[in-house]
Amino acid sequence: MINNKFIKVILFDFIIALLCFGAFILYFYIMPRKGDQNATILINEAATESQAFALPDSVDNTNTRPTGKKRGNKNNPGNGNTNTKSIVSEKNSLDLSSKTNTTLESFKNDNIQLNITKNELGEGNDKITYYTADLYVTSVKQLQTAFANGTFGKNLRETTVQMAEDNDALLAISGDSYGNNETGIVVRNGILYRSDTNDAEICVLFLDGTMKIYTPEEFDQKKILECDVWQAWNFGPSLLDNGSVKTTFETTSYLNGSNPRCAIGYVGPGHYKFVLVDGRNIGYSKGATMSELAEIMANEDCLLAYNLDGGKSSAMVYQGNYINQPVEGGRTISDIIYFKKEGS
Amino acid sequence: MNKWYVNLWPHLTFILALFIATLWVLDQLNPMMNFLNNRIADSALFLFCISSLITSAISIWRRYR
Repeated sequence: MINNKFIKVILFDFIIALLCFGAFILYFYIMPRKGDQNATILINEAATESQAFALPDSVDNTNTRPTGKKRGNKNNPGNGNTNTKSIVSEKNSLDLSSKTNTTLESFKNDNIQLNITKNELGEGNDKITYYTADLYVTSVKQLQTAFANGTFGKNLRETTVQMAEDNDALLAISGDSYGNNETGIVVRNGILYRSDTNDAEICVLFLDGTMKIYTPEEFDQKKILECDVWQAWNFGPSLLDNGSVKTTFETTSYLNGSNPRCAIGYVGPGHYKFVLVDGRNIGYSKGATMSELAEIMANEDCLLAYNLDGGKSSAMVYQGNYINQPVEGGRTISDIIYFKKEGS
Repeated sequence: MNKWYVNLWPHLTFILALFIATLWVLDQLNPMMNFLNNRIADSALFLFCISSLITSAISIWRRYR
């Protein structure tokens, strides 16, 4: 027979465990602190010239290749699936033929050509609304990243709008939330801040404008960091394999639900696409699963695509204003990817 | 063997087990947050092993003394 004293003691232990967990969350995920400031400069700005790309002649040239076909670039990595935490892709889960799009913003100067479109798919409860920023840059150095409060650290957070204003950004999107973790490679604007890897796939943007996505097993840090790495993100998963939707994604079924999503897509050197899918707002946009996001990225003619931090973090800001409708007004995050109006 | 520090070990084991189990469940749901891959979780796991060893040893000793 269970007596009252036993229940009280167990309850007391339970409360102590709860307090320990609360202290853990407070320390690891809430208390802001600066990271190790001994960063390694990978690219000598003065000595290294990035490759110059030509901007296209007109703004409306986003569909340069037929969609739905496997597009080849055999120099890109194989993106093998070695992690046990993977889910199977659901092929053709979206009807992209019903897509309607509206151009929201266009911008062109000597360095950048930008076209932001609003896209709508489906109707009623299944409706998905997403935004595409189609970008051409003359130099990959125009694709910049910034930390919250301008400092590398943990749990340092600002809104996307605040960071965009701090950095005089023309366009900014939410990044990989490096500050939520203690591990995972962080290379920003040619500077290595953190070098250890974790289970997540790694997206690397090189100074020659090419992008590659590596599994942790494929990532030969010493070799890769010698190759003029301009940015490296650690979130994922990788969504495409040479333009085709991958058969499996390195994520869990819990993370695969219909949610707001943010992704970076690589079309070619100097040509990138940022896709932001709104979600958790039935009738406006339900959000997207990884398969749906991958299909959207393939439909946008990307060769490679990489999922960035989603959910309430997903935000796209143009000239200081939200383009999308972040869930509950969005939240503060640790980093952004942005483009300056003037050449950097 | 009814000293307070002997009776403390089962409670410590219970608390650490609950703590680690919670982290494990959260890590299964969202591995991107690295609930288990950090020094506090590592230390908790090590403490749990030590605490379990001592609790077990006391329990076995009480049975055969």
